[in-house]
Amino acid sequence: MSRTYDKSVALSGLTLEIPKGEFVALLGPSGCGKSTALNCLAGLIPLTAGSIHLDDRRIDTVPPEKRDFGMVFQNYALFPHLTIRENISFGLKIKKIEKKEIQNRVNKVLELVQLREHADKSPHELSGGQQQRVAIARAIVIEPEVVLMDEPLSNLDAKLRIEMRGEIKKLHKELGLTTIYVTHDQEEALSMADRLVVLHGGKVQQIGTPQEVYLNPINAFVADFMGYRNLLTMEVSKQLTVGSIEVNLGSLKLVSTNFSSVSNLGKVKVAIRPDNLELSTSGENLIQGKVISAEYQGREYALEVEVDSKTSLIVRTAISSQVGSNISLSVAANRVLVFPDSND
Amino acid sequence: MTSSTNIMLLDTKSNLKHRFAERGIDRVLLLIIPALTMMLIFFVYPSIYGIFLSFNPLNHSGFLGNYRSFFHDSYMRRTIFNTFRIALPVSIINISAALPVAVYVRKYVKRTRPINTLLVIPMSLGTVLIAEGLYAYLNPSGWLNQTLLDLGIISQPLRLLQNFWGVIISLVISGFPFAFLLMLSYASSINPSLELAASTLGANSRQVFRLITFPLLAPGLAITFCLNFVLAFSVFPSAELLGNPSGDSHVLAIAAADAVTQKFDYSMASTISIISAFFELFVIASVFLLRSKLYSGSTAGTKG
Amino acid sequence: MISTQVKSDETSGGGKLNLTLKRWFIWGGITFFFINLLGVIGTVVISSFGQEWFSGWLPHGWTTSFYKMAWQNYQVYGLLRVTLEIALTVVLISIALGAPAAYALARRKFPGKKFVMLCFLLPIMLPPITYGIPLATFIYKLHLGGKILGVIVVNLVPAIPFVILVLTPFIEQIDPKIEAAARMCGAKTHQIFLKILMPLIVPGLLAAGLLVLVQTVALFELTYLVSGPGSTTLVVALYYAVFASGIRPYQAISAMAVFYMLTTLFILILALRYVNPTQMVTQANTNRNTDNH
Repeated sequence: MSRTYDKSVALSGLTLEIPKGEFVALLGPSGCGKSTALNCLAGLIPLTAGSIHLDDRRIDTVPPEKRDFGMVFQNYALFPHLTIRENISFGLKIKKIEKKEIQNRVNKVLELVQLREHADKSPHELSGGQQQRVAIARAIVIEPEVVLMDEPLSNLDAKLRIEMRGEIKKLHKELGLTTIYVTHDQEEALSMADRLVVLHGGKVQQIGTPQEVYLNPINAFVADFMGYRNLLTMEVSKQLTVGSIEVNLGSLKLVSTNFSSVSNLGKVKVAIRPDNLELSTSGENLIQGKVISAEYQGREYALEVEVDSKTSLIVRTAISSQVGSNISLSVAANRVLVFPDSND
Repeated sequence: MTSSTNIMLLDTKSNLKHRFAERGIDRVLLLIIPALTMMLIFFVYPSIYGIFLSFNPLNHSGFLGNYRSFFHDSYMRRTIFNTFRIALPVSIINISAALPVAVYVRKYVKRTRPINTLLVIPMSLGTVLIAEGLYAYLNPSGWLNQTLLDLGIISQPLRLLQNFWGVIISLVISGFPFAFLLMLSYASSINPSLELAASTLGANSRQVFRLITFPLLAPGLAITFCLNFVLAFSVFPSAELLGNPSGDSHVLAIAAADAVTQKFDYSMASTISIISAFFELFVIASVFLLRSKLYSGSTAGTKG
Repeated sequence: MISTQVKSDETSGGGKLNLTLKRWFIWGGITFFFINLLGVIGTVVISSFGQEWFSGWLPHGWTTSFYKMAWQNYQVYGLLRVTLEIALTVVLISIALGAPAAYALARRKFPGKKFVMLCFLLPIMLPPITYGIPLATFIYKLHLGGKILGVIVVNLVPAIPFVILVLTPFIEQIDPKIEAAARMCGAKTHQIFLKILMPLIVPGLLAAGLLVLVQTVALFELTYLVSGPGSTTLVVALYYAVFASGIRPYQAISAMAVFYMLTTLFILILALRYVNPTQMVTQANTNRNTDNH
């Protein structure tokens, strides 16, 4: 599906098939089109091209109230003039479900999100995390075909976010509802999703399982987004064998066996994860450098190592080194990812 | 020799100045005094004086003398009826028109500034100018009647002057923009994601309006009605110019002004003002009572 | 299973008939309103230029003699001067008194604040006639009746609260920490006032001043009760002229009305450059809202 606003393309060419019960995350920075995609799915924005099908029905021509998708908004959008219980039962009342059944379902869902005691309060009396849970409860109680979540955790503080991540995952396990989840936080996406869709500038960059996207990003943008903090523009100096090439930048020379779409000599982007760099004096791809800063992060250290005047690498290691000391690093050739140098 | 900086925090008895500051009283409050004094002298004092005046009739007929003579005089009694007959319909018309237009404009019109600007004009021109214009416009030979006659809609010119119709029209022209702009600001303060959420839960546009938009607008609607009502209830120049000031447009404000300018009976004038204020408060209180009753009703009684 | 694919170009329909009906209804209503409004204003303007006009669409002849008549015989020039004199004085005094009060109200909570706020809110909530009559009595007692000073004082009663109402939320929006930061940089009170507060408040002062100007020029009831010859504003004189319209030619009255209209429109256009129209209406009421809830 595509969505164009006047001259700017907000979203183009998103093609996706989602089996029932899957948890799909739409991931990307602000403005990449993920919220647009979600709003199109919900029916809040019309498509300019393309179609959406639910099983065998075509639904992009159906107004939002008839699509049977539940949605959790970023700002929760709880009805301020209704109590929590009334908020949650809203969708059921619209469906004209019998009173007794409504009560049952609402109580069940209240138990699930652990808000039973607060059922008769007003939204403004609850904290952010509690309001979030009400928003989720309201969306799932109608037992929709699909649950859409638009960055639901972005307004919460760090600790609460991690807690709620677990809760949402648990809920998904228990209820098995198909879920499409929008976020800009790659940690969230990795921990919760069955599959990730990485978006940038309205275009799909990569679709895959969390492991695939994490270990094998398909281009420089995805690598950068997934935490490959060492992103260097280097040159392919020569092809060593069929399966390996050499790239260099200044005094830095690396051998890579992970370079799917690079054919010619020329400029490329090279991505290395900080945790793939090891402190070692033997092994593949030895690099010499000087430690210019060391950040203590509890479990390990993040060292910034200067290789030459223009290049430095970030290394994660459990063993610290003194600032100013010389150090030797090594990285496996198949963990040196090489991509074509395209302008995003 | 090394020098060191010592910062000592001593636990001292808090003095009076600090204790006052805790409660928000400090020199800054002095800034209020000039304005407050003006208000006290020229608003609070005269108002209280007016209340006392009303209980002190010119003819020394006792404490409630003015009130009694007001209610005994049927001509005077009728002013209440006349005023209500003008103010209530006008307020109802204004908010009934303002509400749908405001909701529509908020949803579908992106650039509201031109409309707002145009609507501010009748408000700023004031009731006198509008009344003056209507005087010619609604005339049997004025443009309105001309058009209607030419179009064949009526066979005789409408009598819209020298009765309360002209007054009502005048109040609608100057009151509708006010009501609309007010309702627009109330409508705009409703988060649109609430209505989006309702539609994702299955509500069609009529249900969204009935269950979400309208209940959230209700407080604003009540306030707009009250404000409009109070303005209409105290109508004065329009009633004189366009209506029948000694007949069915003999409203409370005219009675009060006449008491001042013709009979020089300030006491009676104050009495009428107070009676007027009393009825206004009565209507305002009723509106809010009604609203709170309706409110609790609607949330409990949705279809199930 | 959900699948989304790029296929052909389609837009969603349905529910459009309802919308079109609504659209016609609403725009039709608004147009009707404005046509009538234009008609009302137009009648005044055209009749002021016309000779005889007893029936028909347009006057039977054109002339500007009535403007001259209005200017000289009704002393519109004098009226304009007095009106502007009064209005500008009211603006200056109400800002001079209201701005500091607004600052204090925006920055401090204190016991009795509710009472003070009530003193400032009531004159705006109550229609002028209600408190105007006792006020007029008082003014006459002070021997200010019929004098310009009396009219100024009377117009100050709704003007000062209005200024306070417009400025208080404005000042509340200015982060008090800015003043604290200035103090920490060593600035003394009058320096903070001149260099930090004033520049930030100027837009608010402008808005408040212009709104008070519009209000004073158009306000009828209060001035009516207190004015006398030489202290009447244009709008009150217009009223008298219409009321006594048997003696004076209608066209001259229209000319006078046009003068009044031009004055108001001029100030209005000036005001609209700096103030959002919605602000004009809602300032008074958003404050009342937050107070009652």
